[in-house]
Amino acid sequence: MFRFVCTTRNIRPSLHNVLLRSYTTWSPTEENYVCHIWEAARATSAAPLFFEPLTLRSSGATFGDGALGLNNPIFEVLHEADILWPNTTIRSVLSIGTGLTDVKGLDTSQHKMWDVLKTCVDLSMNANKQAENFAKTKIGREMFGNRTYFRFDVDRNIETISLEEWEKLDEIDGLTEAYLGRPDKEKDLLDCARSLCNRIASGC
Amino acid sequence: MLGRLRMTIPECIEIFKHISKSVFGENPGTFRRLAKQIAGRPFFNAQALEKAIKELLTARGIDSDTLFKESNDPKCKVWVYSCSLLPLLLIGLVALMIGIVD
Repeated sequence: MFRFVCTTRNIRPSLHNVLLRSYTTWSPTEENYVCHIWEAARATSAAPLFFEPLTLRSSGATFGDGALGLNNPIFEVLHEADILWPNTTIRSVLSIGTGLTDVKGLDTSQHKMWDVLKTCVDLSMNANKQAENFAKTKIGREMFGNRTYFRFDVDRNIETISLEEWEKLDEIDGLTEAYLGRPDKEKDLLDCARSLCNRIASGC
Repeated sequence: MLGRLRMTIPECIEIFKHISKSVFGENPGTFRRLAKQIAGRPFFNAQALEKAIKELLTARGIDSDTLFKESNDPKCKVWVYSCSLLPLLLIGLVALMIGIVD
């Protein structure tokens, strides 16, 4: 079973978005970065205002400098899969969001960091927009139609929880449970589980 | 954690709590945040995050400096997203080299 785990943080038009991989890519335009596990984790969490950027020991490449991210890398996932397994039909895609209005980022109410607030709104709209964009593409429509693409994204009240409010995990848990308890989501969950099981059973 | 370390979801949640506490535990107050913002400093300590990840690896019997790349073709492939200035230069160089070969 092949699995992609994607975390995203950083994008700015003038900067180049890169993937740090646990495998070798043979794509001629892609770089195989040498990095430690902890460096990969740091590089992908270097959100502006939260953590400072990271410089890789091996190549000196600096990541995460002052940019906020592409939150829903669905097109990147499909592109990467296409390079790894050309002409292969994708059997299931599971996309998990972090809440429809997404990361609030920081508590901005107290000192009026309008820029950050605006960026975070852009960011969440970007993740949701990206899911909508995908749904409109040919492959997106196909995968929706034959139940091979599943997107789960808690769409209520989770926006009140800021990124660093780790102690509110129970609240997140409750909101997620309420979301998954809805009849339509229950069906999606079952279909998704079936789709993933079929893959395993067929040895893909 | 799920893909590279093959941890289960309950394990991930437990570790998430632990790492969050050690990284975000010292949540700077409004005044300190403002001061940090003016000084252009990030709010949280990256070293604490680095340390927490390394401790997780050690606790799981993995060397703290283990490479992210597992092999050329591991069964479970993982990538993380970030951004960099350097690859632009590299891609430029590659394009230039292809141009020369042509």
